[in-house]
Amino acid sequence: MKKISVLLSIIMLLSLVLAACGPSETPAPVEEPVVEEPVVEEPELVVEPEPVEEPEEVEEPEPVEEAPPFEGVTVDFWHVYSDAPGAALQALVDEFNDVNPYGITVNALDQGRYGDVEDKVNAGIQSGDLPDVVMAYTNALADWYSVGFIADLNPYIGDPDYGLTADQLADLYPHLKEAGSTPDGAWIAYPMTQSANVLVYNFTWAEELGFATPPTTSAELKDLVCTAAAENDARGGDFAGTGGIVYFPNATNWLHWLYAFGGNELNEAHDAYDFTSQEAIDTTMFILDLKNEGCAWQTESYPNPEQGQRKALITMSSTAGAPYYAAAFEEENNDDVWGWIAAPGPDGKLAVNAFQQMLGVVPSTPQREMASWLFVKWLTSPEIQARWIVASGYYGTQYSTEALMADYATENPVWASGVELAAIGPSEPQTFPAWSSVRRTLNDFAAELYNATSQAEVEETLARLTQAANDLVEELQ
Amino acid sequence: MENKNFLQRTFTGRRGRRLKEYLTAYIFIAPSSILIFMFGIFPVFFALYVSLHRWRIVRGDMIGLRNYVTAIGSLTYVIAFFLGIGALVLIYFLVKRILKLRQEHDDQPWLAILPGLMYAVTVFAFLNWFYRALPEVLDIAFKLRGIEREEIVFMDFLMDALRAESVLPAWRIFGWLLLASLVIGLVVMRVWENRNNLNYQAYFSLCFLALGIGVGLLAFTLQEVNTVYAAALSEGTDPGIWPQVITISSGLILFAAAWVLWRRAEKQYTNRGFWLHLLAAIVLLIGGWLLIGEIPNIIAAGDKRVWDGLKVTVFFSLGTVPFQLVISIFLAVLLFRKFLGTNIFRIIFFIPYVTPSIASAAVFQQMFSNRQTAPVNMLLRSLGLPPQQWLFEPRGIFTLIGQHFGLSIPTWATGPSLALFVIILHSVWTFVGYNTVIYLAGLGNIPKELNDSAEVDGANGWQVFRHITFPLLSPTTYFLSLIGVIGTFKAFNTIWIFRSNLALGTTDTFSLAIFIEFFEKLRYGYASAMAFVLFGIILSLTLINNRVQGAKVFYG
Amino acid sequence: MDKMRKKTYSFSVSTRKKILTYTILFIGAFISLIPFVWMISTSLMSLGEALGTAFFPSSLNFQNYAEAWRRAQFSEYFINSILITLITLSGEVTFSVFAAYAFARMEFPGRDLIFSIMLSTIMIPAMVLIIPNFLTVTWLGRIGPIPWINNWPALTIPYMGSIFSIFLLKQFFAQVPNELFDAAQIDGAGHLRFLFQVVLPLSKAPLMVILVLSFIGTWNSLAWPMLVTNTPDWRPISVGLMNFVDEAGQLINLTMAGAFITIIPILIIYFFTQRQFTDSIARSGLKG
Repeated sequence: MKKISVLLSIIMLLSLVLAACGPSETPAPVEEPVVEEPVVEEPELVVEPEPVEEPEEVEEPEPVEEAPPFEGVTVDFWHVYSDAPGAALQALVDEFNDVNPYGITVNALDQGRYGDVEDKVNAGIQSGDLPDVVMAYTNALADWYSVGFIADLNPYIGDPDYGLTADQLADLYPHLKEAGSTPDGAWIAYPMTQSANVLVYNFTWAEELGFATPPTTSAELKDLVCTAAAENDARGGDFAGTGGIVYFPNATNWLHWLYAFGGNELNEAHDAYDFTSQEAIDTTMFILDLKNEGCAWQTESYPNPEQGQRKALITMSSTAGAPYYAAAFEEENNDDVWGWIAAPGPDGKLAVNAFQQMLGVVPSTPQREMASWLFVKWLTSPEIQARWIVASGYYGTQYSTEALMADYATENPVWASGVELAAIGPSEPQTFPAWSSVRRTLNDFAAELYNATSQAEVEETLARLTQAANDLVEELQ
Repeated sequence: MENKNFLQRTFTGRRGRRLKEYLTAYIFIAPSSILIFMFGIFPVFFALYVSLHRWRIVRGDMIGLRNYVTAIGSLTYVIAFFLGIGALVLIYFLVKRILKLRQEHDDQPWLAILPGLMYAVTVFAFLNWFYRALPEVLDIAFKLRGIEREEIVFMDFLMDALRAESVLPAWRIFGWLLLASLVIGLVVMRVWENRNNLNYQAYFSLCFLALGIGVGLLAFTLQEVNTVYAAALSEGTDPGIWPQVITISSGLILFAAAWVLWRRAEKQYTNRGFWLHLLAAIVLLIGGWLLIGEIPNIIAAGDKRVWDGLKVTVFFSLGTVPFQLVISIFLAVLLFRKFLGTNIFRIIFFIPYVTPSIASAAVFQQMFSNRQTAPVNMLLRSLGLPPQQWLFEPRGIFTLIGQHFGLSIPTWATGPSLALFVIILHSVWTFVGYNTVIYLAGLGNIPKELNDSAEVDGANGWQVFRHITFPLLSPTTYFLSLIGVIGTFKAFNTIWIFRSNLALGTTDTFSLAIFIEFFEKLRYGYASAMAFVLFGIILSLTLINNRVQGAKVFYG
Repeated sequence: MDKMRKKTYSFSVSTRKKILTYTILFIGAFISLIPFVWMISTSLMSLGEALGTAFFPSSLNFQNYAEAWRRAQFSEYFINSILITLITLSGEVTFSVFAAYAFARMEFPGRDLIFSIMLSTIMIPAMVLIIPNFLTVTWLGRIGPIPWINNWPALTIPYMGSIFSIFLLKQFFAQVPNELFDAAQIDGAGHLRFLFQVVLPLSKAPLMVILVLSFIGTWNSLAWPMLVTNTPDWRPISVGLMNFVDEAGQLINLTMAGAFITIIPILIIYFFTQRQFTDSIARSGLKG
């Protein structure tokens, strides 16, 4: 009897060990330290560097020229699209798998949202489980590049056989190479599509208020939104206190205005963060002025219903938010014409805050990296990009795509109003060291700036922001 | 044949049966223990390792206690010294226990010192191996980069890592020590036949473990402090760690003395003795307080978010736990009576607890939206009150209430921000049902006769509750308040969903600050250090709670 | 509410008390349920309505549920969730029963120490667990016979060792009268027989408690399943739910419909076990 109890317990334990640890003894047969496997790039990490004459698998100094044929290469591609866009992307990938002459198979895997992808890659970096192509924002790719887990695409883009021709390179919007390159010149993020933070503008209402064209300077804009706010105040009831611009203080929106005011995040030498410029102060004071005069207010982060109800003449949104605005206008049976415009600066400079949906290639063998690049190149080629835009509503990255989109543009006037905006940019300094962290810090500071009561306080806050940002950079060294 | 005899001999007889019982018990707890070790304890050691490094996405240099210093200033050294000394003090208690055991049974346990020492050394050998092997194994991720990822490659790399120059000897030492200590343990068990043999061995090994940890920690801290002083010397500044260590230590010693006197005061029979003890205790307390007053100066050098986070956490905890306990004890008393529909109500009150927090948080966000037309703002307006910004409101609730009545509230009394208040409401709403169910359970445990006899004696409902029900529920209250406090200190998921930057950090609890460092800024090293600080705080709160409240809990 | 009004006409003291009780209970129930009402009503709205500020839908869009079901691929994820939950619960309950029994009723060196070390894991901030646990499951999958990542072991095995379940069961097992144990021993029953023939039949109730609580935890867990799955093969329903959340805005009506669908199984389980659930905690008497 007692033996049974012991026996049973042992079986239970064993079953667990089997499930959990598996045959952890099996490694034993591997007696000889195996060094045949190509240990690339990190000689100091090789534990027992037995310098047997390395076979041809060892990386050549110019790997691209030696890029082997791609028959049977499988490329894992992590992206963020589910639902209808996900299905459309999958259809494109299937097509690539059918038509590509190299025999490459791409395995497209939906990994949730951008944040999920970042979490998964960060965890994968610890364990070594990574895909070959990953979709992310540039600042995340820059983080991973800085620790050696994203490849420089320059050799592949410049490859005579598989790279881009001079024409193709010239076709790309000029700011995109810079947007995807690090300060030291490595091209780490290749744009799949673009979107932008823009001003959502109610053309009909503005005309009714006597403003026939969208504002061209910040003073005009202030005039316009204050007129709208005054009208709503006069209406009273639920409309009291609404009407102007909905400004939600976060990094994206604040930077959007900073660009319009001609400022940027870096010092003149472009080697450190500097938010203390006159432009930054002017931007903040302009926003505070709007707020204090009752022409700016905030709702939750998605002010779609307010725009639909004419409680806001201008709101700020990503161009990807179009369907939700459409639904909000439809809900209110509001026939107003609306669309995207850029934020105007005091001297008439127009700016949006442009974002790119970037593709990065994870370092592996030259063969796999090249295969990954070939897929990226195909996916971003004008015809394919045009089809993807129809499915996703994003904006293209090259001039020749625009030409292919004429029909879509006439059917979607709102989308069409953004084509030029996405190209004017600028973009955030995504590849500057620590930008991912700095931008998150900036989110909190934007709220603090919005609550400032005097110019002195604004200046002090901006100085603290600069300090915090540069501290974050210093931590990387 | 031999083998079988040995087995038979080992597991028969009284001693054998006991051995078998031990073995069965270990086998019973093995699956759970292994899993909890793998997924609960190993991560702690891993995080400890991470917290001693500069680690942003990937491992950087070993920087000792610097992450901790960033978080809480030079309080780090003080705490490290205290932990080291605490480990040494623990030895005193262990030895006392051994001596007591020895006296009771009139044993000569000195033979058990040897296996005890061996076990402790084996544990340290294992930790040594772990410490050496971990970086090698972690580097595999780097080596995997750039080659086809196949299982066999990983196995080779793993083998290579474990055979690395610094790792293999450590493994061998550990293996031999393990073998030796097992043999010695068994031999001692056979040679010295005593009922408490294994207990002595365990106590002695704990002694040596504590000794190793204490001495190691003290030496490590001393080295860290010396490094800081050396660095300061070259810069010509004075870090002033030693004076701080001394003042805070003496402050804490005074506190301890006050506590002892306080306890003694309760035992004094004469009035004079009682008051004298009390007076002395208070004097010591004040003295200790003055010395501890040094702490704010020290922590000013630490991370502001840590201290702001702690403040918010305290608000969150104090706002949530008592609130939900009072409501749920009230509901439980109501629901305990049997009448029509109590079952339905029990189900309804429990529903919030089973809802995924993502869904309920989304609903709360809609209801407490700052829109004028949001449900709660509509309610306020219908009551003639101004609509509020709710989750966007950094001002304290008392300030807002005061403002409504035209009072200005001093800054120290602003209370939690309105944004935090919404989060508190959500937390209370979620957990009231759970607490009610457990209170109902506690009520079910109270003998019915007690309530009945009290009612016969003419006590009214409130008196019964005050003098009988509530004291008898104290174990439940204790359990729930502990779970509640730990829960509020650890909570971050829903707070993260609710967080708006417009609340200006007034909703950032300590654990949320850790979350931000971890997942937003990817400073794994620093975030792990902060997490250890939080772990320490929760642990000491629990221990203090155990000491203070545990003594007062009435176990009916 | 109307029913209660009628009762106010009789004015005896106990009735007044009853009315007061019911009033309070109804207010409590109202507060408990109002987010649910909100959730259900939003789930029936059109997108524009849901983005707006209406409390009740102008027309009932039941097709939201069909659409949520289709777009979140619930039919696929539902089975995954059920499998994951079943595997996790069977492992967790089995392991916890044995461990709780040993901690409650057996003597062995280090018992209290091991138990307190395990109990202290409750206090560890959850953030630090994620990366080491990810590494552990990856490594175990690489050296073991089957991969863990993107497979059931990573989703279930880490949850099988639960100190909370052990703690709860231990409290209960410790209250089984000693006389029963002595009697069983005289009959020659070992620990295993005593556990299966005496203790477990007495403990259906606490088993139900850990079953329900673990069910809720496993069913609702999101971050970890997202981290350890790369393909839909083993993704649970909570991940499918999050598919609605887009970077630029939320399809809030579909999200609420999806959320409501995911809650239904929990509610069903709870409705069926609720009686035993309340009773069981009562008998396990959580004495600190």
